Amino acid sequence: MLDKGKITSIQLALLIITVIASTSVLFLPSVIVQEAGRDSWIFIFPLAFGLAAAYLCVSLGLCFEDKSIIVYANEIMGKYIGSFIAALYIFFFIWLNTLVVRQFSIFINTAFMPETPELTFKIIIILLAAYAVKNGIEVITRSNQFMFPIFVIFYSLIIFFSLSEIDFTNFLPVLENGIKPVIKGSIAPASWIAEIILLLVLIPNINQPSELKKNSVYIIVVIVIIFVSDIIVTVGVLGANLTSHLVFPFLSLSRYSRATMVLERIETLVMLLWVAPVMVKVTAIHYCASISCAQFFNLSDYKSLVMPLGILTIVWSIILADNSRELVFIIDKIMPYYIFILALPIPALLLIIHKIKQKRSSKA
Amino acid sequence: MKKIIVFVIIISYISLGSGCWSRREVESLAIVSAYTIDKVTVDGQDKYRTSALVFKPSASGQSIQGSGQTIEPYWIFSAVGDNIFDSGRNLSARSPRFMFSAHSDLIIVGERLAREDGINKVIDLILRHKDFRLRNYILITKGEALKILEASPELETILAQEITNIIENSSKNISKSYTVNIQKFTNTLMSLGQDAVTGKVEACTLSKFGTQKQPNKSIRLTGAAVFKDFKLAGWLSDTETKGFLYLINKAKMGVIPLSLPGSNKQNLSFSMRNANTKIIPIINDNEISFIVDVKAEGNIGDVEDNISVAEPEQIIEIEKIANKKITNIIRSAVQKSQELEADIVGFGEIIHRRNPKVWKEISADWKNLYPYLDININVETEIHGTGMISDPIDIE
Repeated sequence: MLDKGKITSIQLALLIITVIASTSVLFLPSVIVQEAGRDSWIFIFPLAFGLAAAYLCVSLGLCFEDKSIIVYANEIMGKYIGSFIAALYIFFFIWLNTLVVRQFSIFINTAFMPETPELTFKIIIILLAAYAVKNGIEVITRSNQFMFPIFVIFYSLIIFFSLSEIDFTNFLPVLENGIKPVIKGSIAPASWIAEIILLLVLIPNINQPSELKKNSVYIIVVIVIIFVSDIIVTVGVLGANLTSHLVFPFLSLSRYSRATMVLERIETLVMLLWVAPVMVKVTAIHYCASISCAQFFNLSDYKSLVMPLGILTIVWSIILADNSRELVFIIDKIMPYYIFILALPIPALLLIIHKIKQKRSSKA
Repeated sequence: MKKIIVFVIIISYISLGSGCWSRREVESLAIVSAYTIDKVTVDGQDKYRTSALVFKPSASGQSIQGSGQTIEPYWIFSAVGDNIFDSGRNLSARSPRFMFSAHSDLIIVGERLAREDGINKVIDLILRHKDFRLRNYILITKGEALKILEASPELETILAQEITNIIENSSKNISKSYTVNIQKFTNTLMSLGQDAVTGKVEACTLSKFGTQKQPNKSIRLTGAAVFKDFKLAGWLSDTETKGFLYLINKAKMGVIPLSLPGSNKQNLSFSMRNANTKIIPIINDNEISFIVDVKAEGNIGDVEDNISVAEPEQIIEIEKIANKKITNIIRSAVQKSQELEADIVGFGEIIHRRNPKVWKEISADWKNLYPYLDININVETEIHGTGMISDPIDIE
C-alpha cells in the first residue's frame, strides 16, 4: 500500500460523481443533441451501460479488497499480459487527464478570458492538483466533500432559474426517427459514465468495501439524474435546433435564464460550478495515474512521480489536439471505444478468469 | 518568526497577485448598448456598416455652462468594412476605449442587408461571440438602420433602454408589434415547418412645439418583418401583426375598434383583457386544413356615440360584431402570410408535432402547399362588463 489513507465508500461515491459530472454538464447537451435531437432526454442506454460497468468494476475490485487492478492484473493474467493490461489503464489515466486539462483551458479561454494564454490555466490547475495528490487520497476526498455541495447548489440554482422558461413543445414529436439516433448520440455520454473505472484503483483505500455495491448504484443514478436534468432544461429552454450548434450549451443556458427579471447574468455561477469540481476531477485522475504508475514499477513512494506526470500532462495536453474541434473529435469519436474496452471486456475477462481459478483451487 | 514571514508572504500574494490577466477596468470601456448593421455601397462596392450606440456615463445630466446646451449622454459612431465582423472591429479605430458589448440589448438590422444577404449572417456573428446574449432583441427597420439611432429617446436617457422598455413593458398592452429575442428567432429560422418573424422599428418625426427645443425624431415599434429562407420577404402591418399575434397565442391585451350596424364610424371599442388560441390540424387522406379557435374576453372600452349598451341582448349583439372583426383581423394575417408564401405561424410545425408521419411525407413540399392551405377561423368573444358606467352619458 503506497497510500495508507482510508476513506469511506460514501466519500468515494461523491468523488466519482464529481469526476463524472463536472466536465460532462457543460458539454453533454451539444454532444447528444447533435445526434438525438429532441429525444436526447431518453437516456436508457447510458444508464444500462453505467450500471453494467459499475457492477463489473465493483465485483472485480471486491475480490481483491486491498489491491488495485495494477497489482492483481499480474496475479490473474500472469506477468506479461497482466502488465500489458495494467499499462493500458495507466496510459488511459494520463490520457484522460490531458483531455480534461485541455477542455478546462479551452473553456476558460473561449468563454471568459480570451486574452490569457491557455497554458496559464493548465499550469495553475496541474500545480494545484499535484499539491493535493501529494497529500494523499484523504485530502482529495475531503476537498471534494467541501466542493460537492457548492457544485450541487449552483447546478440546481441554474436549473431552477431556467425551469419557468421550459417550453415542453420543444420535445415533440417523441421518437420521430426511431430509437437509433438516440443510442448513437448517447455513446459518448455513456463513455463518460464509464469513468467509474477509477474505482479499480481507489477500492483499496476504502474502509468498508462491502457497502460499495449499493453505493455504486447510487453513483450511476445520481449521474443519470444530473445528465437528464441538464438535457431537459437545455433543450426545453433553448430548443433542439439551437442547442446542437452551441459549444457550451449549459453556459448559454445560464446566460439566458433569469430569475424574476432581477437576477440576471448568472453565468459566473457556471464558472464556479465548473472550475472547482474540474480541479477535483483533475486531482483524482492525476492521483490514480501517479499511484498506479508507482505500483506498476514497484516503487516505494508515489510522490516522486507526481510532478513529472504533471509536466507530462501539460505538454501532452498541448500537443494532443491542434484546435478545439480536434479535441471534440477525440472525445466524441475515439475516447468512447477506448473506455468501453477498459470498462467492460477487460474487467469481465479478469473476473471470469479469477472465478475459474478460485473454483479450481478450492476443488484441489 | 517563520510564521510571520509566511503570513507576510501570503498577505502580499493576496494584495499583489490579485490582478487578472484579461481584466477590463470600467474607465477603459465603451459600453455599447445597441448595434445597427447595414449594407451600403461605397464607390460602387458592397460594404457593410456597423454603428454603435455607446453610453456616456459622465455626460448624463451635465450641461455646458452658459450655453444652455446639454451634452447628449450617448455617442453614436459607425465604421465600414468588407464584412459584418470586419466593420464591427473597425469601430475600434474611432473608439478611444475598448468596445464592450456584454451589456448590449439590441441589434437593429437594415432592410437592404436583410433582403439581399439574409439575416443568417448577423445571427451567426451574434451566436459566435461570447459577449452577445441569446436574450438580446433583434429588430429590422425599413431603410437604413443607422437612421434609427439618430432618433432621441424621450423618457429614458438612452435609446436602447427606451426600445427595450417599450418591448418589455408597453407593447403587450396594444398587441400591435411583435418582437423576439435571438434564441426564439434562431429556432424559428432553423425550423423547416415555420418561417421567422421579428420586430420592426421605425423612426417617426415629431413636430416642434413651444419654445423648448424638442427632439425632432423619435422611434416607434410597429408591425413585424417576415423572413423566408433567411431573407426578408415582406412586412406585416399593424393589423396583420395583431392577427398574427392571435394566431401564435400572444395577443393578450389590446383595443378592437368596432362599428355598430347602421353607423360607418368606429364608434365603440372592445377592450380585450385576455385571449386564447388553439390551432387544430385536420388531416383527411389528402386534405390538410386547420381550425383556429380564438376565445377573447374583455370589456367595453368606450362608446363614442349615443347607443345603449346596458341590455344583455345589446351586449350579445356587440359580441357578434367583435367576433366578425377579430376574424377579419386574423384572416388578413393569414392572407398576407400565404401571399408571401411564408408559414409564419408554424402550421407546418404543428403538423410535425402532432403527426410526425404525415409531416415526413409533406415536409419537402410544405413551402408549395402552404399558400393554398384552408384555414378556418372561429372567434368567440365574451364581454364581461361595461366598465364603471353602463349607458353613455346623455342630456336628459
